[in-house]
Amino acid sequence: MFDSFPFDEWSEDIADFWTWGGANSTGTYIMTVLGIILMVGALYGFVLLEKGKLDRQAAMLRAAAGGGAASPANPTGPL
Amino acid sequence: MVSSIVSSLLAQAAPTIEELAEQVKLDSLILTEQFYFFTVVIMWLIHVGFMAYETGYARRKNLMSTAMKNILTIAVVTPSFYYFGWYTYGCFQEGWPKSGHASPDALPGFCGLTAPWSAGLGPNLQDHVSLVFFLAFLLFSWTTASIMSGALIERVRLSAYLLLTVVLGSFVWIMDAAWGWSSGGWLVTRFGFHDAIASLVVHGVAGAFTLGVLLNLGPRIGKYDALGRARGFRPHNLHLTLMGLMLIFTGFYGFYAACLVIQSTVFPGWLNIYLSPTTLGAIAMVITFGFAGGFTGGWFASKGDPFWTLSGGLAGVIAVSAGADVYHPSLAYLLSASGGMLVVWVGGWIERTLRIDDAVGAVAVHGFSGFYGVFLVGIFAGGYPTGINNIPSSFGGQLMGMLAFLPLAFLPGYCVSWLLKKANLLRVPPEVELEGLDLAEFQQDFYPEFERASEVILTPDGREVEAGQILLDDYRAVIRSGR
Repeated sequence: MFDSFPFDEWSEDIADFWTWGGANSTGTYIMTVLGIILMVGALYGFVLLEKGKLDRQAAMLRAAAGGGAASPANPTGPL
Repeated sequence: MVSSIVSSLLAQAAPTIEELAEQVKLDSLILTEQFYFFTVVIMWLIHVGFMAYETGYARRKNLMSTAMKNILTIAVVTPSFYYFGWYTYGCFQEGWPKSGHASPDALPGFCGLTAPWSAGLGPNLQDHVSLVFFLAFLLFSWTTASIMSGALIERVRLSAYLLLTVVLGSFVWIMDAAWGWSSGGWLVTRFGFHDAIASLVVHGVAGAFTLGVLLNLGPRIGKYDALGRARGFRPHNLHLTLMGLMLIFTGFYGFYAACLVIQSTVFPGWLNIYLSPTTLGAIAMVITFGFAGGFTGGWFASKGDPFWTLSGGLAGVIAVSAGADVYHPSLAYLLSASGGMLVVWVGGWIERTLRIDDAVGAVAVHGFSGFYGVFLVGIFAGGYPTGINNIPSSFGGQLMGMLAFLPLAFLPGYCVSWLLKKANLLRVPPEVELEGLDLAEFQQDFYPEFERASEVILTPDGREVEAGQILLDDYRAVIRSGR
């Protein structure tokens, strides 16, 4: 059998061994907050990035059809 | 000398009863860990299937925007479920957590283990179960969120879908799971609500949420004529759609298995989510007969339509999932056949009478069948003891669950999509919808070497005609009405 705890300082009572501290530690709280910030930022980014693409494409299509609310020249598009 | 060596070896080779008990306990935990891990692997196929199913059903001009919804579901639901969803499940089973992190009474301390900074949600040598159990629930969340995806295709903004899917996948469904799909849920401990494999808590709730969104999203350009009669769009690859459905069905075996609690050292070895006894074989039989009955019902009700035959199979399984831990296979076969038939008629009614453009019939297949499934338990499994309080299942208890979950699902779907609509963030501009979303989102055609044929559309009387003029007329009507 392999002994996965060869060092005295690592007893079999060891539980959490996370980077930046164990459960309920300051490091873990900080990582959680950073993760939430990334998640919210990504959601905001999805909205913003897509809005830009759609607005540009819609404006281009309107311009191609003569501006305003005119329809595109080819309703089925190039596909 | 020799005898002392032999006796010392024998002493090493003969563990005590306590040591053996520890080894068996660890072995059982490792078995549990592996079991849930492999259910997660199998459940990934559900998402492969959803992507193929919806992409095949989209028109050629919208296929990649459809596929990306399914892929990015994983990107947004995973963190939101980790940071908020799992805590909701752990702590809100009694409504509001009565004893804080020591809640709920049924599983003392479970609430505290579901916070993202807790010992239950990171690497932990003493805990072989929490992380894989979390992952199984995460896959349920992806599934619930993806159910909405297909209904909205070809006109919803990707970002709007992602925001909605976070609400559905990480808040709405998991709150109803806490209430009615846990050993400590108030609907279970007080009313004996019984939905063993999540007919209502996953499928029904996702369908009701989707219905709320569809009311604000509106139909695709060209879907209805001036008299309100439904036209049909041709899927660009129905084979891909059918393969996607078959992959979803394969993944469902993992989903069903993951809904059980494995306890290999205690008779009978398996418990349902309410901690009532069942077996893996029992639920596997029900799902298999559910498909058989559902395909049969769907085939006959749709007069052999391929899409509705396979959707009938899905509806059949959902109709028997709520009682899958106790149903006899013959009962599952009969009930799922009824579910497979009903869903075809309900789908047609939603499309033609309610004039709601649900592109893949998700409200009927998942929403209707989910509610139908828990309704059937009230009739066919009435009296069966549910949960740790052994409250008998009853029609009243099932009705209580339906009445709680319908507004819990529908209202957030309606309200959040209404807010997005008011902010002009729900739907793509009509010009982009007409041209196809893929050019706007990705600036390319994803079948570059295939011949480009004119788009066709099915008229209400069943004729296939060129779509160009019809779409253009409806586009003008949209611009005039500002809808």
